[in-house]
Amino acid sequence: MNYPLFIVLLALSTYVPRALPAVVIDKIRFSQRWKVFLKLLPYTVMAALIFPSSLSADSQSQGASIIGVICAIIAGSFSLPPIVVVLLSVFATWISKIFLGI
Amino acid sequence: MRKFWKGLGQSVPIMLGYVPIAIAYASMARAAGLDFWQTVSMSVFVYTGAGQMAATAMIAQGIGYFAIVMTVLIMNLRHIIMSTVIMEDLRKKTLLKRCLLAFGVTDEVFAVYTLEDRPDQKAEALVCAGIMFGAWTSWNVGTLLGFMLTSFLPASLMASFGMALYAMFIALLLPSLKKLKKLWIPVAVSALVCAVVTLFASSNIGLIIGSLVGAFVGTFTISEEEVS
Repeated sequence: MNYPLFIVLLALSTYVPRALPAVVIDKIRFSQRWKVFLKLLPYTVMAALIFPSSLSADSQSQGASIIGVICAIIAGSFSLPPIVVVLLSVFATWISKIFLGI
Repeated sequence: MRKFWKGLGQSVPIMLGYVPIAIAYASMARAAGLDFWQTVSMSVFVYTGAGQMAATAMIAQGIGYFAIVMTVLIMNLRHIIMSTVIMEDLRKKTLLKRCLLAFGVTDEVFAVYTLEDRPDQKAEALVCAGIMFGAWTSWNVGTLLGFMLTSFLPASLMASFGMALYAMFIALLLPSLKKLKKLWIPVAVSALVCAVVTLFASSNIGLIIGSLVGAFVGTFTISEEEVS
């Protein structure tokens, strides 16, 4: 297989899962329970994205990752804008590596 | 057009996360022996962070193209879930618009579009397009930067940028949890199931099963009025 064909197949393997719901949504009506289910998915997907992967977000140090997560939780619980939370958390992760001596 | 700009503004935290990851991807691709166009075309057309990293690592190990395509397909099955939520919101839009927007569905775009501002988005295709454009552009800018100037930032700072997207997810999730305490039940179930499945299978399978089980449990504890 040559590289351009490989890229086409790879692009399809990412586009098809994304486009499938766009195509079939017309044919689907969700009942009350499934509507609630769909509305809850953003929260549960977010939770599963965060835990447990965030605990090793910094590939160099698990300790620093945990400090970064704690920092994000504290900043986030004040409902600060996401961009502020992101900058604080990245900075805390980085600085803590220096203090942890990594 | 104002809505497109609004979406573009909302994509800024995604950019901060994407640029360093794309730089890492491009330096990996270069190390794996891919040339400039091979590296860039993957970011432009395939556009999937973890999938591109995995594909590059597998190319470096000499694994066949077919096996790589299958692996990336499995890694991207979770986008069926996310795209379904977005398309349910955009179901009144034309098929063409939906199919165009589908290209931009990533974990991070999903997070920002469904949770920023209002938990219950009201079919804002232009906001969605703005977020997607910002995210996709930054991914490709990062790829270019990474290919041309490998490691111009200290490696230790680059690694810490791995925290950026998680911090964004936390910042998006926490305000909703504060507003609606009942959300803790599906959210906690999802995180726990994901952690357990991740131990035995992969983080991808963990994410899919965890989020589905969590949301299903939630349908028994939360009513539709509460969640809107």
